[in-house]
Amino acid sequence: MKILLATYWLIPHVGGVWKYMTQIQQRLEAMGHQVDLLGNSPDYAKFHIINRGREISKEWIRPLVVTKLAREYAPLLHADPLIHYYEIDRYMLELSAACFGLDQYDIIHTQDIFAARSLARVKPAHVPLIAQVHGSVTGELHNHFRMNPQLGINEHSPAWKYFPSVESRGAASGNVTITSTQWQKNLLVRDFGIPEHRISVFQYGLDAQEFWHKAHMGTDVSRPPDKKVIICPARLSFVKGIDVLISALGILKSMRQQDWVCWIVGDGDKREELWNQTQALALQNDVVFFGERHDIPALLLQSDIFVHSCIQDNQPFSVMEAQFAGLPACVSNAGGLPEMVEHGVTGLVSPVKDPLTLAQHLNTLLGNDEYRRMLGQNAARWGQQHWSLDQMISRLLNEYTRVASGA
Amino acid sequence: MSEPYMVIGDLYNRIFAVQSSHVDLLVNYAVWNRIFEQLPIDYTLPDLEVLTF
Repeated sequence: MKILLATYWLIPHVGGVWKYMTQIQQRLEAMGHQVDLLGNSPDYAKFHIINRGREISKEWIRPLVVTKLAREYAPLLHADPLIHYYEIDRYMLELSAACFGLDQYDIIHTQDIFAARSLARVKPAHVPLIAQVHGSVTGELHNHFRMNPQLGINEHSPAWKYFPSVESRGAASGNVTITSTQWQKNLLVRDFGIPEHRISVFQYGLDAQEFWHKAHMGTDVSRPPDKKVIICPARLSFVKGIDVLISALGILKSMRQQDWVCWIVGDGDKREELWNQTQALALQNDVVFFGERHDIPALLLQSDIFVHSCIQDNQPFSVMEAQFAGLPACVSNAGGLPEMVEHGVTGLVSPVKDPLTLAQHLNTLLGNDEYRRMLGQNAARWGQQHWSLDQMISRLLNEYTRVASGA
Repeated sequence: MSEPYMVIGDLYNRIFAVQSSHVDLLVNYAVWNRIFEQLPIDYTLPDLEVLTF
């Protein structure tokens, strides 16, 4: 089969969507299929099929689109600058995809709601489309608007209403919609009106061989000899809830002696704010900001406890990797996390934005080596069984075959 | 590399819901002709379905 994996987001990228796309590409090409990867370029200047070296500069398209969709001709588009930005960029994806030619593919598998809506509008009718939903853009943006009232965007604003509109139509664009958690499925049915029978749920997989290869390559970071390591690999963005973790560490510091250190691995727009929070809580000797690194498997092997205190997430790779490494996970109950971590069996689950409970969980694990190791061993066992990449690829191929045959 | 062959953008007015004339706006013929021939016949901009809420 010839397959197009398409996203509106940037490729390459450090996030999970890119990792997912490359995993599928590598596995399917090893099986004799041909897989192309379409997305925005990292500088936002073009759309490209990165593995073929094909690209369309947005400057070839934008002048005509912007002129013909000026305010007097398309007033709805100008109701808010955010709507204008996303829609114009999405139209450029549509026109670029058409230019690349979509009739050459047996399957189009989109990775977000923008790409799903866009490619559904320009693909030939006979080419089936699978719309994968990895998370909720509406959820993230609505949270962002709530947390930033100075933006003046509330539930009556066009920008507020735009995201559910594009999400519901994007998620419904495929012959089938795939997601990885029951939580996301329920959200699609309840909030976006996607018929339940059109949604397939199966979990992501993790390449065990690649993980252990990276883990055994080692790292130049050494754990402090007399302290346990709490690790949090995550983008430093609002949705990851790192501020909740830092608040919890402030509480933890008052609960017990300094027998721990926290490694925060990642970068993002909240870096300065989080660093300031760390200083304000006098945690500068207890928290290390490593920035973005490519040796996370090796860092996990040096760690004792994994934390993911996010506000919203679907099925993050970071939790899967921590389980491979045999770490107990302290996670929030956001999104699909409770489907990944069983409280008291493979980790400890706290309510979203609840630093006190998170601090108590960390204190429990730091104070009880036997319990911490038991949860870690359970996590490793469960992770090896549950996150099989072979199983994920097999399920995905079944879906491709099913929709390609018109079933 | 040779300069791209440019044509008036109005040639592609069919894809816009409101058709307007901008005789001074030139576009790359090779790119836009390829796009135009690949688009479904009922394709229009903007995406009014998404924008109607």
